[in-house]
Amino acid sequence: MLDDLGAGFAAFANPTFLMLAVIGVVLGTLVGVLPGIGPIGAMSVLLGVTTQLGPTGSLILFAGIYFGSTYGGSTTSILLNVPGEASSVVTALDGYEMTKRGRSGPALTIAAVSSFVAGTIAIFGLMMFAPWLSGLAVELGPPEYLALCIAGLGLLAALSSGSTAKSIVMICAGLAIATVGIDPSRGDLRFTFGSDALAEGFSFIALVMGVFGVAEALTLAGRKWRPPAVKAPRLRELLPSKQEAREATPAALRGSGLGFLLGLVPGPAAVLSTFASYVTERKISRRPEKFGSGAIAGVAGPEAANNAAAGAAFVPLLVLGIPFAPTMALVLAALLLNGVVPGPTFVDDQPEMFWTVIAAMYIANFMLLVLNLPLVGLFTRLLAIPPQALMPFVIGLCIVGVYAENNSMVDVVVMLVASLLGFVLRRSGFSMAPFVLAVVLQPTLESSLRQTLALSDGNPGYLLGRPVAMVILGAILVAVILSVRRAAVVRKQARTDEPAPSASNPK
Amino acid sequence: MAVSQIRRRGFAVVLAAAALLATSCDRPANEGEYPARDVQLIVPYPAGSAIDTTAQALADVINSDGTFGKRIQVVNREGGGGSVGTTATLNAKPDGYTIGLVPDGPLTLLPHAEEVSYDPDAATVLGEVTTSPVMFVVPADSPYRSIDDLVQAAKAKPKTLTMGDGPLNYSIPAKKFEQLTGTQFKHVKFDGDQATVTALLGNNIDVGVMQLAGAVAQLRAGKVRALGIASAEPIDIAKDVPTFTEQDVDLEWEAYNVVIAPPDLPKAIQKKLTDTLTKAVKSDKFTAASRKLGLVVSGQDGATAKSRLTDKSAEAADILKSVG
Repeated sequence: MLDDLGAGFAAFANPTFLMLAVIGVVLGTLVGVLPGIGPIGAMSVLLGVTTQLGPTGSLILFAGIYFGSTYGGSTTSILLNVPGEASSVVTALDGYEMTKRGRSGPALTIAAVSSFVAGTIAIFGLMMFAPWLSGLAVELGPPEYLALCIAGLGLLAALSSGSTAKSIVMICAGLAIATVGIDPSRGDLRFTFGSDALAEGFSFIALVMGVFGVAEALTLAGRKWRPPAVKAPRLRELLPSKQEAREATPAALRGSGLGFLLGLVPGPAAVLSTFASYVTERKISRRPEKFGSGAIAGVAGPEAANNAAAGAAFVPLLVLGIPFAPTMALVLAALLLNGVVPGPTFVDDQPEMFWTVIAAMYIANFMLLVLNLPLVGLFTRLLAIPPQALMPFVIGLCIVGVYAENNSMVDVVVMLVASLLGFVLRRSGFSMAPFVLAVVLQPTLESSLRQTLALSDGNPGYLLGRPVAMVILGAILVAVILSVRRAAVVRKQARTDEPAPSASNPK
Repeated sequence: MAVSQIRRRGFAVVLAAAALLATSCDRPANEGEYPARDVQLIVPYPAGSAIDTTAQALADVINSDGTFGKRIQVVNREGGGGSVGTTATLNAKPDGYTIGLVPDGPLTLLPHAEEVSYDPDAATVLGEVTTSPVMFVVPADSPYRSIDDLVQAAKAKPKTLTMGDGPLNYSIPAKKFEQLTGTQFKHVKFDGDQATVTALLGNNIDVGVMQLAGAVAQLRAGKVRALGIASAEPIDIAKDVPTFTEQDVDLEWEAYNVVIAPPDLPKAIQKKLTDTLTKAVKSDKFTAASRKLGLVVSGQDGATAKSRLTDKSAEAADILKSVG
């Protein structure tokens, strides 16, 4: 195993890969810092160039963006109380309090080091678990894949903050859009209305660039903007005190473990893990009253958790070929565009790529640690660029990118229509993540459903003989019941108290 | 979801803007100096499929040889069981800049099953590159050791044993097998060899209809076993797999991977392309790549390839008619 990892690192002697890792982490930090445009938007804009980068290069770039955005998001949370990403909302609770007390430097350092530690633990977990889980995953058949797809979509809808009903609407819309084109098993044309352009279905790149890349740019450009007054801490103010370091260390370790485990299961793991870690830290703290007024454990735990969850999210993608998070859906798209189909045989068949990816994640985490702290001032100064100046560039890049993919004006039109719909729907509180995940999972969902029906002759009793599928379906049921009960509790509270502020805003 | 793609490996890392610049240089070619620009080799299946890997290997041999003058670019236009890419190839201008590497399915089988917007009989066939015989594959711990074992078990429990098949090049030989042996299986459709082999590894189906190319890696690793191969003679790269004929079932079914061009391709261009392809197919580099992929190098000329396609189309029509 160590030899394999060594070979993975050796791939980075290739300067192109190293450069891609740098570009990835810088871009990721950038979109993490800028509220409004997130890692999905950044990845969708870059999806068009992944075919030129090859599978390994694309994975390196996307891993950099993904980890970078979880780092970057925390910077603005701590300094400005403006979470750049949904996964750093919790960090703002105590992080910004620390800034107000003049301890922004230590908060940033603890956040960065916790992220690094968590990333390292997650990568180690991925390294240990993925080959082993691949062995188990081979046993899974069509009914289990069906159950996993339902779990991925169902849990995203049930556990995301925001309206579950609206998420379900977006899932159905995604599933419906993805059925357009040629029926995979019979070859009939579906919902093409006689149009040749639709025979291949909607281009995924056009859809995702529309609802994320362009729609996010439009949203941001429409926002009232005032240059924020930020004071980035100087280098020598970055060092945490002994007391702070002592409190942060166990919190970061607990957050890493929690985040990794949550990252393995379907659902919006990165966001959930930050809440789970924060609640845990407060519960086991000897001074829970300090939470909310600048407890360092409230920064270290969640920051570690979201990074560990980000690393763990690669496990189901590489082992099952099923993305549980929209960001992973983008990574999957980049792999498919390059002809790599992840699945139970991936680690065995393509070990070089697997280990290079592990090395890439490690290098990305390390780069973030050494780049981010010294460059905090630079990144925060970027917030002073009015989005109206930046966004036309993003939109232009999307149009060129989507056209270049297939030389098709139809794709450009699809993207523009999708972006307008995405823009309007976002303003009405619909989240685009379930939509994108549904579009990506639809082919797997459909073929596993049809295969299950063929295997079972349409007899539901067949599922009783598939314990794994039963367990997964049972878990979905429990999660849905819990989330309905939680919603009822929140409603009741809202009636008695002040209306509860929504905890996070889903991307 | 259609993830159509263009692969242009070897390009430097360019931004999308540069990519647009590159693709917009589609100037009309001057007669007499073919090739004046790069030739698109359309593959009607996704990147990563066996046919795509074949195309990449072929393009690689031609491009690194360099005597063709311009580059061959592999373009994946998947969808519709191959009809999308085949349509794009056959309905293109017959100028030699759009050719396709297609398995025979879209030419010989698909037109019997659905309406297609091209005329398979009018296609210019430049040559046969490789063939891929169909095999029946079982999990390593399967109780079936031969085709006869499988037939006996299927006869004892009709419509119970599960058979994973897929597109027409898999489902038609599966039907023919049932006709020849008087058996009936429960059919489960998979998208291709990768999905079928995963189902076999997990013991989720009893037998899988696969092509040699898709099964070869797991066969070599000993994780699955082949009961029979539907070629006329035992295949060099899978020596120990007996043919169906040797096991008294008269099933011969191979996918022919052919290079096609639009109808009425000018003779001079056809000759240039045929010569280039024949040389590339016969090269050691291509042979080695094919061997690794589990493909049988063919190198049949256009005329022979065309007549094999016509025969297979007629046979498929008969089988499809008899099963309704």
